[in-house]
Amino acid sequence: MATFGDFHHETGAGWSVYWRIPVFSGGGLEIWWADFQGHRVMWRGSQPFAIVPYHGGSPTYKDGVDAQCGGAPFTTLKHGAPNSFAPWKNPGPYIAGADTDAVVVTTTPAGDFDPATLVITAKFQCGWYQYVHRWEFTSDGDIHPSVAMGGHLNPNKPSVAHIHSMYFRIDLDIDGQYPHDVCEEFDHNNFSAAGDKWTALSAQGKQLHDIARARKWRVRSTTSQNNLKQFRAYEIELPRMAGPDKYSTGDVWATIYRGDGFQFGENVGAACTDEELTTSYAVGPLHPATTGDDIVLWVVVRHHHEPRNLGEEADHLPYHYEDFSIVPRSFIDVHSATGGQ
Amino acid sequence: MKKTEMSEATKALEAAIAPLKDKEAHAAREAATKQLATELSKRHRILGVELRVEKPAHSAAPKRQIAVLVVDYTQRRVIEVLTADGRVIKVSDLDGFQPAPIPEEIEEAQDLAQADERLARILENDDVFVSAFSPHRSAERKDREIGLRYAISESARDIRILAEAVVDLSDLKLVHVENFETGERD
Repeated sequence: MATFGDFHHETGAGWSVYWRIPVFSGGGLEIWWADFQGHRVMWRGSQPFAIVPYHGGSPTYKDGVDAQCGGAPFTTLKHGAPNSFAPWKNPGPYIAGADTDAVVVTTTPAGDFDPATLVITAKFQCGWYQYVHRWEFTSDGDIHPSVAMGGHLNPNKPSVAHIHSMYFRIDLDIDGQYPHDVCEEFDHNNFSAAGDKWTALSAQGKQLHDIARARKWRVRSTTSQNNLKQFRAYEIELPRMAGPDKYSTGDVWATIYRGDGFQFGENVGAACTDEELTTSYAVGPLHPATTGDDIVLWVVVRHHHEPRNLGEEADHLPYHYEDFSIVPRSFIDVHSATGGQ
Repeated sequence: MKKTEMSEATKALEAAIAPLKDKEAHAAREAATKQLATELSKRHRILGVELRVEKPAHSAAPKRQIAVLVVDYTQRRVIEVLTADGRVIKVSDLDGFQPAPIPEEIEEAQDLAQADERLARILENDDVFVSAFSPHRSAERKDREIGLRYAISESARDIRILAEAVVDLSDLKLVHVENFETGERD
């Protein structure tokens, strides 16, 4: 067994999931082959890079995979490493010697207010910062990917505000029927009977959120149906506390699978922006009316950080989580609904 | 009756994704080294070996593949060699991609940087520590560069970055130093 790079299997809350921390990407925790109740949902999910521009025009870091612009790769920490500047100053005692020193897996039974959960978590040092990668799988079929920011403020710019734009690569394979999925965008246009509309995307490309239209996205199978003859789908629900900017220019990119060693965050950031997602990754047609495609989504979780350097964040950054949800629609057979299991 | 969580598609992958054995990793390294023997410069390093899984066509059995990542400092190449059953099946130049530096590279960069008397002077203070970062780079430059930050901490609330340096492992030289205390920069 290798110290890093192997796939580790977990089950819980109706899910079968593998996790891995790669040997050399510097891109953190990866989730592979997430299956719910015997049906494939996701081939692979990860949060491989971040773009972090500061007020004042500089710096703008690209962290994680293919780090550049003064950023740093995600270095795997032991799960018990303190949330402080200590692992940055003296990493030796805190760097994980093996992936199993880093990852914590917890399963929680359903309670009076929540479904059962399977949660996979690991933390990473990135310069003075720490990032926590957490994936929660619920017995309702939801996936909640999240990322926390912790560690220490930029020592030379402790008071300077900045935005963490955290990029998730989500390769959904609805019921394993690739390449026969479509990517659709939802808009709530008005309150008329036909006021809500799903529109299939006919080309890869950058998508923008529209809070006023309750915009969301989904990957829907064109071949796999549940027992009520509904095409199975998973939706992306993306909360927003900050919008796109000149460094992080979109909210979601719809693209296609081109291999697992390719387009996982490398070659993005030459100008310390995400422009390559638009110019190199999400390029080409989609085929919603004919064959469908093997859809891969890039999803940005964003946090504007106004430092509390003269207060709560003077010593260290309490972990601040941002997340989004990947939620089933007509995925399960109705007689096997799992709510409250 | 308890439902099985794992899909049939994932069950079909189990042999291909089993933990990597030392013997397999060794065979993959050997195969990669042999394959690249005539084209690599003397200054190269294997950065790592790990399993690689690509989506199989639905009619095909999933293959167990092992990727070997090699950096050639002199030729400024990052090469991925994909192997299966100890044989090379694909060699790819990963143009523009710089994998995370491994500890040996960071140590080498620190040794090179320490020869600079300005940085050596900073290191005389016992409270100074060094951490690596990934410098700016342009699409044209393929040098293997390691950034080093020299910081001082007397307490959590009193940390300063004193200087930054960039070491080019391709040319084995210090290419940039910036002292934030004095404003010196070259």
